[in-house]
Formats: sequence, structure tokens, C-alpha cells
Amino acid sequence: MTELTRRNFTALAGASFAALSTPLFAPSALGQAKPKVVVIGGGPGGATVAKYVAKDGGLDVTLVEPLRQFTTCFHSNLYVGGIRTWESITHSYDKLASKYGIKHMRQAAQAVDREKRTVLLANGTVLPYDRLLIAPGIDLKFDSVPGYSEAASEKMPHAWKAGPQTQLLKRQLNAVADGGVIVMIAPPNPYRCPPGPYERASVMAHVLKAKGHKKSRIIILDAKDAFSKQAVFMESWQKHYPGMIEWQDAKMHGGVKSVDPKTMTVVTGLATYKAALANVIPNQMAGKIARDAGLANPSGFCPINPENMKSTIDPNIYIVGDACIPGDMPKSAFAANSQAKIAAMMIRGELVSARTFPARYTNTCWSFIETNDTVKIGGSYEAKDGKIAAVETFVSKAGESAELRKQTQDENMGWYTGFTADVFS
Amino acid sequence: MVVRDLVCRLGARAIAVMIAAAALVWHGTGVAGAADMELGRYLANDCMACHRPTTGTGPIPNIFGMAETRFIEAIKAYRDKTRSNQVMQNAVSRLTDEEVASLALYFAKTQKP
Repeated sequence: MTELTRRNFTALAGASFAALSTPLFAPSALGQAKPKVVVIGGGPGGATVAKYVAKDGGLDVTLVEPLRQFTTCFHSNLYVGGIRTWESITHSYDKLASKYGIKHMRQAAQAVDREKRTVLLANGTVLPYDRLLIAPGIDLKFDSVPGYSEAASEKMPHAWKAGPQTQLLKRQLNAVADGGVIVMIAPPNPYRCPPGPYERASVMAHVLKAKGHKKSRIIILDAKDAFSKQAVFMESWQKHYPGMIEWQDAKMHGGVKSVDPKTMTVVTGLATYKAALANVIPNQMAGKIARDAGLANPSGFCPINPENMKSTIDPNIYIVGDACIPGDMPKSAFAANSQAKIAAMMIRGELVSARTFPARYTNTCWSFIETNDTVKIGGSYEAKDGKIAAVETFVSKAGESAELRKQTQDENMGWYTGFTADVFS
Repeated sequence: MVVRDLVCRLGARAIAVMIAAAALVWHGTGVAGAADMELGRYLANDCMACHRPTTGTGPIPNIFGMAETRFIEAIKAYRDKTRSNQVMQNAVSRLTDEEVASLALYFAKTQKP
């Protein structure tokens, strides 16, 4: 039997309580003002955190998001492909405010003062916080593609943040004449939405095929050697769009040497293209507010504790969604929402002694290839080996029946309806 | 010292266990193995990304208010892989019987999210 001294008795008692992370005297119990939670970013990560933190009450929740309504990047490819309308992928924040009492500050967050625990907004307002959730999404590294820039994206859109860029891309696609060459530059890992570029190539082919194009081509210049759901994308491209989509890895094209928006030229080690449409998707990093707050590592993304989504750099700040380093999870809206629910639970656990459970995460990503042919990939995850680690994953298989692929598309549309209700209402 | 006497009699490890147990009771953990409404609510967060009352007309059923036995039967069929759908099989493969029961209890007693 270990000798019990007064010193190690205290340590044992402390360890027992600390292991449960329960503050014994929550501020609200003492009649003080409600603890303040500030959420920066109203996408699927931030909006979900705001809702799940607020809905059981007891906390003061402010959502900092300059947009009045949110157009989802997920399913924006379906808008580009003429399969969904802009309105159907755009959602108001009104319900979050009216149902859960969330204060929506329609301002950009300018800076975070981690010492004082305040957020400075663009209009000069200073918001104090007890806990901060940052979900700013991605920023684009424009200079990762030689010759590319933010100004260049007005002629060669990335359309990797839903909004005017997406609408520009659709207008350009609709103006491509038969025989036009569409060049897409696909980024290296990690980036938002791993199968996104290939779903986009598919919806572009869908539009051109429907218009009867016989000579148009879509050339994908990839930084990667392989891509998400590659086997089933390739199989379906051959089936639906034979000869229209050509995928090149870096070994084949020898690297993108330059893009020129003035002449719409793309030069690789293999060839020079005069593009009717150039969709340049550059390398990515965490949104500026997170990087400026010192929360990113040299990768440009923010490290988190997989057990609770806390920043490993600041214990009062949580980070979810595309800006964080998600281990085996992809950067997807579904993943952001899953991480957000864990963060919300842990924030409530810390601030109002809410019950917490060991973190579990989940993700599914659907990709449209052609009408009645949609594929999916997904998995379950948990905190393990210092990261969010996959427990079990699944992916659509080559040779699946047409009926299953149609069901998968119906599931995709059903998911979108449910998911956006989960996030925005 | 009184404390020292007490501690010597009960043993250090016993004291640690008592403190941890007291903290667990404070935390409100229910009896192991029984359906737990709060656990069900936590696990249901994952389901709510797809299952909502509004999705009921499509391939993703509305499971709010579903009878417990029907719910448990469906989930166990996905867990056994006798019922097919990759998303559902993956979603439930790591659920214990207690967790399935907790989820069933939560959805049976909850009409809307």
C-alpha cells in the first residue's frame, strides 16, 4: 500500500477532479453575468457551434459574420452545373438569432487580443470572451501558382469560396463554345473538399454534353499523384463523358510553369494551352484572423487537441472546420459540423459544467458525376495517437449498379436538406 | 491527525476511488448498461446532420418519435450488416448495446430536434 501523506492525498483528490474537468463553482451559480462565447465565422463550422452552445441556455453567444446570408460552397458545383439554383443553396441566419438568442454581429472580425480575451471588429466594437471559437475557413495562397493573383481570379476564377466567384465561373462555363479547352489546376493536399475539383470537372462535362459539344475538352493539371474516389470518378467519366476529361498528374505535365490571365494561357512542362476557361484552384491556408492571432503552425493551418477541438496554442480558443488540422478527417462541411458539436459540448462543459462525453466524429462526402450517378466516401473517427484518427472508412465501389448510384444521389440531396436545417435552424 | 488516522484505516487507493466515485455521481453518470437519455442525446448529434423531420419524404427517414423496438431493430441490422447502406453501417458499427438503447430512448421521447 502506498504511503499516504497529506501531500499525495491532495494530489490524488486534485487528479480525480481535474480528470473530469468540472469547475465546481460556475460563475452563473454565483449570480454573475452569463459566460461569454464569441464565434468568428458563420459557415457550417461556426454556425453549428453557435447553435449548439446556445441552445441549452446559460451562455451569452455572439456570432461574428459579415454576411447577411450564407451560400454554401458544398453543392455550389451543382449550381455551376445547372442542377440547383442559387437560392436553394443560400441560407439566412435569422433563425439562429430568433430561436437561440444568438447575437449576430454583421461585421468582419479584425483582430484577436488573446491576452485581454477580446475580439476587435471592423467597426471598432470590442467583444470580450470567456471562450472563443474561430472557424474562418480558408484563404487562398494566390502566389502558389506562377502568374496567379487575386486580381487574376477575376479572369481565371478559383470559385473555391462560394459567392461572386462561383457565379463568374458559371457564366464563363455557359459561354464556352464547342471545341473550347477548359483547364483546371488542382491543388496539393491539404485543401478544402478533396473530391471537389473532380465533381466540378464532372458538372462542367455535364453542361457541355447537354449542349451537344463534341470537341470540347477539360484538362485537369493536378499537383497530386492520386485523388479522392479516383477509381469511381475515372470509371464514370469513361462511361458518361468519354474523351472529354483528361487528368494529368505532375509526372505527366511536369509542373505548371505559368498562367497568364491576359492571354488565357497555361504553360506546363508538357504543353501550352489557350484556355476558353481556366479554373485555377491554388494552395490554401487557414483564414487570416486565425493566422494573425498566432494560431497556425508552419503548414498554415491550426493545430488542435483532438479530444476537444481546442487550439494547442491557446487554451481559451477552439478551432473547427477547414482552418484546423483535422488528422484523418477531410476538410469538409460535414466534418466542420461534426467537430463543431464536440467543441460546443466541451465549451459548455468548461463554462456551465454541462456533461461531456468522449469525442466521436463522423463524415460523409457525396460527389455528383452525372444525373443518377453520384458517389460517396466517409468514415468514423476518434481522438487517437495525438490526432483525429479514422476508426473505419468506406467509399463507393467501381461497378456498382445504376440503381445504387441513383439512390446515392437522392441521399445526397436529402442530406443537404437535413444538414442545412441542422446548421442554420 | 484525524485525517491521517482515517486515511490509514481506509487505505490511500480506497480514498482515491471514493473521491472519483463521488465526482462521478456529481457528474450525473447513470447506472452502467441502462439506456441513458443524455448519452442518447449526445450520440444523436451525429444523426442530426442527416436525419431531420424535414427529410422524411426522401431516402433519409424522419426518426424523431420512432418506437424504440423498431429503432433498435433497424440499428442492429445495420450493425450486423444484414441491412445495407454504407453511411448507416459506418455510423453504427462502433455502437454498444447500451448506446443503441440510449439512442432509441432519446428518439422515442423526442418529437423534434
